Amino acid sequence: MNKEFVMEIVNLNILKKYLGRSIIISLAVMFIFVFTAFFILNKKYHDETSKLQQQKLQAAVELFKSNLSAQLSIVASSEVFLNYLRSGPVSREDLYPLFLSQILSIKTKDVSGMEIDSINGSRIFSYGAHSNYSVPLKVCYLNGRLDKNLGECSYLWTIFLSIDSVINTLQQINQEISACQSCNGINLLNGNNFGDFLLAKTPSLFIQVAINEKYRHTFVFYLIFVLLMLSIFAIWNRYRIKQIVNKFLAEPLQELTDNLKKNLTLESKSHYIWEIKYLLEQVNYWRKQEHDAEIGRMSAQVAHDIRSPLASLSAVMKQNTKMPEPQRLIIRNAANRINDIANNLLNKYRNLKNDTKDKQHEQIEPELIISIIDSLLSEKRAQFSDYKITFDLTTQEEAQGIFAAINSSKFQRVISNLLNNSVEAIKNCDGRIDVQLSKIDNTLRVEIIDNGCGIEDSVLSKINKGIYTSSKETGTGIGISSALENIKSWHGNLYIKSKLNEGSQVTIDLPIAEPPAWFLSKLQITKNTAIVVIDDDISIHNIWTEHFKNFAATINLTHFYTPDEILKYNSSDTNTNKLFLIDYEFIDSDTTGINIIKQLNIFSQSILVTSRYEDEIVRNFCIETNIKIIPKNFVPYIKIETLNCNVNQNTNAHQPDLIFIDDDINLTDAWKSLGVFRNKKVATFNNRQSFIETMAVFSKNMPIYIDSYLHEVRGEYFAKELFDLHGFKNIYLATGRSEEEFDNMYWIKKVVGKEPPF
Amino acid sequence: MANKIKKNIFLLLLLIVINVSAYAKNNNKPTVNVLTWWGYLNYPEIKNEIEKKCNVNISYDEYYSNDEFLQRFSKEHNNYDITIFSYTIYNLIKDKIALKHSDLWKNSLQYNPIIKQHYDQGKFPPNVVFFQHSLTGFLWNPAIINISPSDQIFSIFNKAKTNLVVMIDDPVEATNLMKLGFREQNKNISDSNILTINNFKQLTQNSKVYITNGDNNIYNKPNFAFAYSWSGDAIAIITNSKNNDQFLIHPKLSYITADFLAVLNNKPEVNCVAKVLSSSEILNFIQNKDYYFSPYINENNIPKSKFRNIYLDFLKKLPELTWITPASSQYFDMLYKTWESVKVNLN
Repeated sequence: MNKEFVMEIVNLNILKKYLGRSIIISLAVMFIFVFTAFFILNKKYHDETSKLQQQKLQAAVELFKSNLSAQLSIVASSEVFLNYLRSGPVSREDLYPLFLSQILSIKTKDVSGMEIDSINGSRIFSYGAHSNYSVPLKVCYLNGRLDKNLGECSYLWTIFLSIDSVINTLQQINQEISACQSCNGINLLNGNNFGDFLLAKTPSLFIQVAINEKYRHTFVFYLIFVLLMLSIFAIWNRYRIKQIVNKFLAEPLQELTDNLKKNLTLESKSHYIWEIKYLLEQVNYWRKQEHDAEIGRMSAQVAHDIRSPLASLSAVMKQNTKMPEPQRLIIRNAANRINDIANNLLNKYRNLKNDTKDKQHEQIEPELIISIIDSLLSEKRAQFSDYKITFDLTTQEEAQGIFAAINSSKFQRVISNLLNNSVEAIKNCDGRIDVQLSKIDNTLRVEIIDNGCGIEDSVLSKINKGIYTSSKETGTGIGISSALENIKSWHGNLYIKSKLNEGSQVTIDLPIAEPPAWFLSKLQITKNTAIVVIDDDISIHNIWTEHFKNFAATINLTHFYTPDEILKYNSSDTNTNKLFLIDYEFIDSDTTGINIIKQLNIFSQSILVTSRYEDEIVRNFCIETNIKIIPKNFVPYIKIETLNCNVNQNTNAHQPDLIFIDDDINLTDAWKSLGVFRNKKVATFNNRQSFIETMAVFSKNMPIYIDSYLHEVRGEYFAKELFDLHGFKNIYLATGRSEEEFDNMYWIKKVVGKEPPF
Repeated sequence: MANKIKKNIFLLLLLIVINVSAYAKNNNKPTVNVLTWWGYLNYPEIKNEIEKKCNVNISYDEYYSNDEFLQRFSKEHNNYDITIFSYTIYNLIKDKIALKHSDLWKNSLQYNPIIKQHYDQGKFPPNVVFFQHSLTGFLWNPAIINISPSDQIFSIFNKAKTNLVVMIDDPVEATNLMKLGFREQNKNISDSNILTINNFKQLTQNSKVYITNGDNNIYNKPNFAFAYSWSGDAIAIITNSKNNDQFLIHPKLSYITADFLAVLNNKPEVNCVAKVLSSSEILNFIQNKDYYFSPYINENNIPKSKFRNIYLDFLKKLPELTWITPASSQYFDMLYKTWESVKVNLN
C-alpha cells in the first residue's frame, strides 16, 4: 500500500498535492482526536459532576433528615410522650395538652401531619394533614429511652411530609438544589434508619429535586474555544508547512530541474538548504568530470598514438651503440620525456576514470634535482639550438648533492614549461636563461632567470595569487597554475618576479629530502687507494682526472674504456685496496657495469657512475648489494676527500674492528686507548653528522656501538636510521640504562653497557 | 407573642372539641380506668370480654417497673379504679389501696390451696387479690453459655465473659441475687450493704449488663449470654427468640413473686371489672398467653405447650418454694436509690 502511495508521487506538483492532503488528513484526525478527547472528558466530567451532585443532594437530604429526626427524637424522648403512649384513653385525655404541646414543638413546616399507632394496630394519635409522602418510624424504648438497637418497638409513628416545604428546606440547605419534573430525584428513606428510629419498612420516598448544572455551558464554551484555536493553528500550520516546503524544497528543485533542462549553469542561492547545495555541487562536479573524462579519452588516444613511434625510436636507439654518449643521452632523455608525457596522459585519463583521490598515489620520491635540471638544460639546448639563447646552470656547492621529494616526471614538466616560457619571452632575440641552484637552510631553491620581455604587473599579480590562467594553458593543464599546484603539492612554493622589458625570475623553493640509500654525495678515499675508472665516455675520464689531480701523490688512478679491458686487468692485479668507479652502459658492448662487478666480485669496492640511476634494475641491484651510485651528470659536482676518520693506525687494514659513537669524548678516547692495548681497531665518532659523512667506507656488517644519548638525536633513533636507510645490521645500544626500559627495537641487536666489549 | 396567643387559643379550642366528642361518644358507658403492669391487658379478647360483661369501657395505663408504678400511683391514684401491682411494693401502698368493704376476696376461694394458704396468711384487705405469680430464674443462650443448677452465681457471670447479660429491673430481686452470690463466696456482707456499685461490678465481672424489664431486642443478639428474669418473661422470650434459649429455675435462687389486683373504689362497674379480671377464667387465659402462673393453677388448667414441664415443676415445688418478702418502705427507698446509682453507673 505504501509502495503504491509513493509510486503515485511522480513530480513536485503531485508531491505538494499529497503533502496538502496529508496535512488536511492529519488535521482531521487531530480534530477527531480532540473532539473524542473532549467527549470522553466531558462524559467523565459529567459522571463526576453527577456523582458530586448526588453527593451534594445526599448531604442536603441527610442534613434534612438529621434535623427532622433530631426534633422527633427530642419529642419521643420526653416523659409526656412516653406516658401518653403507655396510657389508656382516660389518661391520654389528661395528658393530651402537654402531649400536643410537645408535638407542636416540632418547629418545621415540612411535617404536615402524623399518626401514632400501637404495634397491635390501635390508633393512639392522629394529627394534621396526611399526604402521600410519609415516613413510617418504629419507636423503640429500652428503660424509657429511645433505643432502636435494643429497645422494644411497640409503636409506629408515621410522619406526613409537605413535599413543597421539604424542597424549600433542601433549597435552603443548598441553593443549587431545585425541583425538577423529569429527574430521578432522591430517595429520602434509604437504609433502615431514620435518626434514632427504625423505618417500619423500607419504602421509597423519592423527592423530585436535583442540583443545577451551571458549569455545563462553561465546558461547552471551552470546547468551542479549543476547536476554534485548533482551527486557526491548523490553517496557520498548513500555510507555514507549504511555505517552508516551497521555499526550501519545491522551488530550489524546480529551479535546478529547469536549469538542467535548459543546460544553464547551476548556481547556489543563499536560501538553499545544505543538501540541495550539495546536490548542486555534485551535479556541477559530475558535469565537469564528464568534460574531463572526454579530454582524458582524447589524451589516452594521443598517448596510444605517441607510443608506437616511440617504441620504434627506442628500438633504433638500442641498436645504435656507436653514438657518443652525450648525444645518446640527449636522445634517450628526450625519448624518456616523450614517454613520460604519454604516461602522464594515460595517468590523467585513468585518474579521471577513477576517483580523484588516486592522485595522491602518484609516486613522490627523493630526486637529485641538479641531475634533472642538468638533463633538461641539455635537452633545451638541443631543442632550441636554432635560437640564440644561452642556457646556463650555476650551483652553490652545498646545493649540488641535494635531493627533494618530488614526482620526477611532473617536476621535469614544470621546469621544462618554465624554460619554454622563458624561451617564449626571449623569442628571436639574443638571450640568456640562467638556472641557479642554492641551499637556504632546509630549502633547495631553483631560480630560472631570463632577460626576456617580462610580464605586466597586473598579470604578474594574478599569477602570484594563483588565479591566472593564460590562453595557452587552456586545454593542456600545463602552465604556471599547474606548476604552482604541483610545487605546492610537494610542500614547496613558487614565486615570480618580473620587470617589463627586462626579464623574469621564477623562484621555486622545495624542502630538502634525505638522499636515498644508493646515492653517494661525497667520495672519500684513503691513502694508497687504487682508483679504477671504467667508462666509455672520455669526458667522464677527464672529469675524474681533474678531480683526483690533487690526490696524485697518495692515490693511483687507472682508466679503462671497455669492459674487456677491466676484466683482463683486474684478474692480474692482486692489490685489494682498490675503488672501482664503473659506468653501467658501454658502447658496442652488452656487458653492463653490474656484470663487471659480479664477474670481478668487487661488490664492496665498487661505485656505479651512471646516467641510468633511475632505472629500477640498477637501483634495486645497488640497494641489495650496498653499492653506491653517482649519477653521471653529478660527477662534475661530487666532492672528494681523503678519509678523515679516527681509525687507529696500528693496523694497515682500512676496516676497524668496531665503531663507537658517543658524545662523551673521554669515553670514546677510553675505548680507543683500550683498543690499542687489546689490539683492536676502534673507530670513534662524537656526533651523528661526523659518522654520516664517513660511513660509506665502513662495511655494513661492522659492529656499531651507539650511545642512547647523542646531543642532536636519540641514539636508538639514529641506530634505526642506520639500519633502515643505510643498511648497517650489527648495531648495539651502548647505554647505562637497562634493556627493559626500551620497547622492542628490531634494529638493535642488543642493549649493552658502556664498557668496551673487548 | 402573637404567635403564642394564637397557639394557646388553638390548643384550648382543640381540647374543647376533643372533650365534647369524647363525651358524646361514651356517654352511655362508664369507663373503668386501670393501672397495670405492661402486657397483662394487652389482649383484645380480655378487654372485649370484660367490657361486654360489665358494660363498661376499659382504659388502662401500663408501667414497666415498680418505680414507674409508684410515681404514677402517687400522683394519680384517685384517677384509677383498679391497679395491678407487685407484691414487693405492697407495704408501700397498702394504706392507700385498702377498702373495708369489698367482696373481691371471694375469688381467692378458688385458688390453688398452697396459694390460698399464703393469701390467707397475708391477711390482705378484701379488695386485694392475687393476679399472677412468677418465679425468678436464668434464661441462657447455649451458643454462649451453659448454666446448670449447680453453678454458683459468680461462676455464671464469669462464664458470660464479656457478652450481654440482662438483669431484672427490680432492686429487691437484684439484692436477692447478690446476697446468694456473695454468700457462695463466703463473704459476710450485711443485707443493708449488699447492693452497692462495687459489689454489683464485682458480681457481674466483665459482662455487659443491661437492667431492664419487658420485651427488647437484646435477647436476639448473637452475643446474648443470659438473663436473670421472671419465668413468664423468660418463656415468652424463648417463644419469640431466634436463639435456642433455655430457662433454668435455680434451686437456690427461685422465689415466688406475685402481682396483686386491687379495686380502689366501690363503684359497681369497677367491682364487676375487678371480679372478672381476677377470675380464674381470665387469669388462666392470661397464663396461657404470657406464661405467668395463675393463682388458680392446678394440673387441669396447665396449658399443653412445650413449657408444660415448667408448670408441672412449679406445682411440684410450690409447697417448698420461698415467697419473696415485701420490702418495707424504708428498705425499698434505700435499695431504690442505690439501684438508680447502679443503673446510671452502668450507662
